[in-house]
Amino acid sequence: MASSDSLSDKNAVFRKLKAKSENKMCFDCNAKNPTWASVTYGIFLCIDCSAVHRSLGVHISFVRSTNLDSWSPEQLKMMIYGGNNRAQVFFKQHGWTDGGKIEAKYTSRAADLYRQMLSKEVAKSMAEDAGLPSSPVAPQLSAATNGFSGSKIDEVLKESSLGSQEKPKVSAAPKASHTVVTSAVKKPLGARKVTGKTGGLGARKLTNKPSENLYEQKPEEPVVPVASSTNDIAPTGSSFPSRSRFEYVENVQSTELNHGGPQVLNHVAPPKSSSFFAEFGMDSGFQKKSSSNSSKVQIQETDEARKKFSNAKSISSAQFFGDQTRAADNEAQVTLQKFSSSTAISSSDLFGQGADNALDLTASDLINRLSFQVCFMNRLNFDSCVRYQGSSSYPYFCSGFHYLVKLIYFFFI
Amino acid sequence: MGIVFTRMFSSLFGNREARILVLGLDNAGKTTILYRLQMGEVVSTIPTIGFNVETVQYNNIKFQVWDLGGQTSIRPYWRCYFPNTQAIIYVVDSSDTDRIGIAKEEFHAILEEDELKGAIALIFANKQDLPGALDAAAVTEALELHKLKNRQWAIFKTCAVKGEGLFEGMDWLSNTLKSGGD
Repeated sequence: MASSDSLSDKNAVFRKLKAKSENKMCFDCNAKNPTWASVTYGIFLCIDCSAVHRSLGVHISFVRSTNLDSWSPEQLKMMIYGGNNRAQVFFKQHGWTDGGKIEAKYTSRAADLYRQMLSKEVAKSMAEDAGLPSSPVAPQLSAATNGFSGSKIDEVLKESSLGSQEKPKVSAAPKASHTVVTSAVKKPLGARKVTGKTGGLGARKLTNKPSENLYEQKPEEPVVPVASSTNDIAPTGSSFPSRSRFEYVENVQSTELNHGGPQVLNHVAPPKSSSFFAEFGMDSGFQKKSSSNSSKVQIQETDEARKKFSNAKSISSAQFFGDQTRAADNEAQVTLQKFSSSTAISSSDLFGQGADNALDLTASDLINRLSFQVCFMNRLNFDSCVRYQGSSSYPYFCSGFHYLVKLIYFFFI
Repeated sequence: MGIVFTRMFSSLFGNREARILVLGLDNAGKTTILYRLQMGEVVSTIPTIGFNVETVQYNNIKFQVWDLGGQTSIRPYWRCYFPNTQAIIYVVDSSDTDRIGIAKEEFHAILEEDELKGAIALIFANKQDLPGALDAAAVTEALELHKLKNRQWAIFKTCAVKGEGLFEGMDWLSNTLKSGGD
């Protein structure tokens, strides 16, 4: 139920969004029927333009396929709140007309602003959605699970459809941008001129003006930061608070809806009882979020390893485990130090040192290491010999021994 | 001197073949890495729907490298390519910290497959040139590589567009395959 519901939700949302004429063309090149999207800007793209977006890195543009990828509810919201038209209006205001280099366009200040604006709105709406079910829990107690979640899905769909037809709710933001359009007239001349001349400088020069502009014209803007301060810094970060709230609501709902027997079950496994989540298309998204959450916790827990390996360009299984087994020893530190400067560490390297599996090593590895060791040992011994002026035969013995070892290894190989 | 012996060593065994899968989330850089290895160039790629396969000759091993698309709904098809695979190159976008948890889950799910029991794992912490990229140690922890028992693995910091780290990784791969094969 869960997966199919989330899927249908995703498809339903995209069906609505793609019904709008603005979204029937690639945002960047106007190719028809785009099936890719940049979540960051809420725009639809063709596969070729998506390739360029992908190459910019996820911090600039996060690309998903509308067909082949799973979408979290937040990501879907980004598309609902965004849309090609809105982005186009915004970019136009800031002097980016159709065409132009994609890289420059999306690394510009305008793109940055739009990115932030959109993610803030979505974060705010996610927070509202998270808050919504918690307050009307009481009136909806009588409603069946299906009724409740059904109304929820209706809401989502309504939003998307409203956006296409009359857009009262969705247009809250678009309206803001419209006001920007009208009142930004005083400024765009300069902006367009500047960007027309020099790409980088123009983008920089824009920086203060549009932002002031935004704050002046947007009535919601002061409200948005409040929501964002409680909620998140990055768009994705918002998932955590909302997620926990969902969980709580989920519990309340499932227990209070008188499911009878499975009550305890529902209570024990909140993520599983995803009637609400499922309708929202957040089943998969939810799980992923929680996993990333847990991984972050893990990172914090195992900070030591990170410190130890912080210099290494590569880490291997053997090195990692070797480190753990001999953590207390100085040996571990010695091996780590040895590897810290190296670019590549393999499990065989470490086995070769720790155990008798030296034969696992390739010839080059072994010989290189041995020869380094020999040189190192010789020098050490020689130094000590000079210092103490004592047993002068020791270095010779030592080096002889090492050459012997070396030879033996050659034969083995 | 070591080089001489390496050559002698490898000449003893002549050419070998190995079947390699390049896996990872979408937009991790799998296709870029494949063509960087094969042609030594950075190609502009589009999202891979399906797969790319190329032969890469390196260290006297003929690698048959399969680069499979990473979009969510085509990941289940990866398993069709698992049989007879000697090694997996798992590519992670180090700068995509939001999705590294998903990367971890996919990685461990792959390695649980029976058909990949004997496969060694080479992890590329790719896109090191991007701001906010996690280093090798951070990716190691995020992927929970310490949980991998009975498997040889190594992780390398790479930047496919600059070509950094790739061939160090391939060195490890070829060395490990050679030593494991005897």
